[in-house]
Amino acid sequence: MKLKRVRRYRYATRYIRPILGNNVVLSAGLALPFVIGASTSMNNALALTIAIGIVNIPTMIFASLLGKKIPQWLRLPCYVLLASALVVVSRFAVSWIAPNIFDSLGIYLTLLAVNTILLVRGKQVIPQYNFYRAALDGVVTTVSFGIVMFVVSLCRELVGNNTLWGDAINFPIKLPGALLPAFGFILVGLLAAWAKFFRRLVIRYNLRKDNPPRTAAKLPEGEVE
Amino acid sequence: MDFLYQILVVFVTALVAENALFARSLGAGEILNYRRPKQILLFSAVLIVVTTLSSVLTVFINLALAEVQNAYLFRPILFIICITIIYVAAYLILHFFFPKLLSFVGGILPYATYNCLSIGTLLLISSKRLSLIESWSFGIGTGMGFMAALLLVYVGRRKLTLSNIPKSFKGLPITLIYIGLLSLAIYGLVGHQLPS
Repeated sequence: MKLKRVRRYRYATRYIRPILGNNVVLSAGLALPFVIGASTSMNNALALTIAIGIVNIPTMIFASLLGKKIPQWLRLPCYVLLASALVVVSRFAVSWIAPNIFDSLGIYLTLLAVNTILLVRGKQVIPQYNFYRAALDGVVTTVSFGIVMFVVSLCRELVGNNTLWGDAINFPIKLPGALLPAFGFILVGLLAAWAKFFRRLVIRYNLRKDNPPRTAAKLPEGEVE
Repeated sequence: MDFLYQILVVFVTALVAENALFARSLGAGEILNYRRPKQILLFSAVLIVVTTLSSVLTVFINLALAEVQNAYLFRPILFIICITIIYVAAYLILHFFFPKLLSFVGGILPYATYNCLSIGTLLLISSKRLSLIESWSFGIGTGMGFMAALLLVYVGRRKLTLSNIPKSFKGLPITLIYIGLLSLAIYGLVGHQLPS
């Protein structure tokens, strides 16, 4: 079986694959509490995306520069302590979004200090990267998280509250139950299925191009194979 | 009697009504990591110890920060420092006195200590302003509620693996949909009604 096109596709998208096809939330199941629990309004989505960028990018850069010098068992505590200090900074960075943004976010803003994107990638992957690759990884995972947050928040705010960015919208469907965590789980599950379908479609397309199906040769009449 | 009743109410609330996974989606990232009952029970045991010890320390931190201005900025950092002290102490005790046990739990210990569930429990205790015994009860209830939730998800995933599911839904997607339906069922079981 030829895999030239698949390998070329994987090499060409190696830096941006976490955004769509191998989305960190929909494929790896990272940072799910924020996407399911806090995605009840677009303001929350914007605040958490900005905050996770402020927390993750510097911590990943720190992990790439000093990760290998710290004993393995102390890496996570160091990353979490740095991330918790950055969460305090992020509070000031998101305070302009809405007057009641902190009431709306609840405990989820503080929980960014232990988000699984940072813990899983920071411990396993980032110490092998250099400064630029770690920074790029931080940006790409933030964008990847942000896309899912915005899509889920848009659906839930529109259907659940009939508002957009806090302003009332005339929308035909109103389901207040859309603001419950149960709806968040189901919606993210459906989006994860879509992402998996999209990923398989692209790989199957590249495989078919490299390995076209053979058509059976027509035999003359009377002859048997 | 009232005192015992109050502790029981806090415990059952943390276990069922405000289950960390189903009501707040805390710890949802761990559902895929632990696939066998042994792993789930080991992870949950470490988690219960961490949440119980740190929930008790939280009460003292809250008392110390009662008169401090802008305490909401320092509180999370102090909680994380408190959990870090518990983690380092646990690691060193296991390293020097129980090295065989450390080889068993060493891989799980950091993830059981630093996760949304353990920090989220402390933040909830702080926001509810629970007393020392109530905090302890809430910590144990949260840990046991999460263990029960993980076991429920494990049983469901086993049945789903044997079912004829479309390829795009296999793994994480169907697990999330299953947890969503469980969450809705528990929401109704507790006595809530869907908002209209």
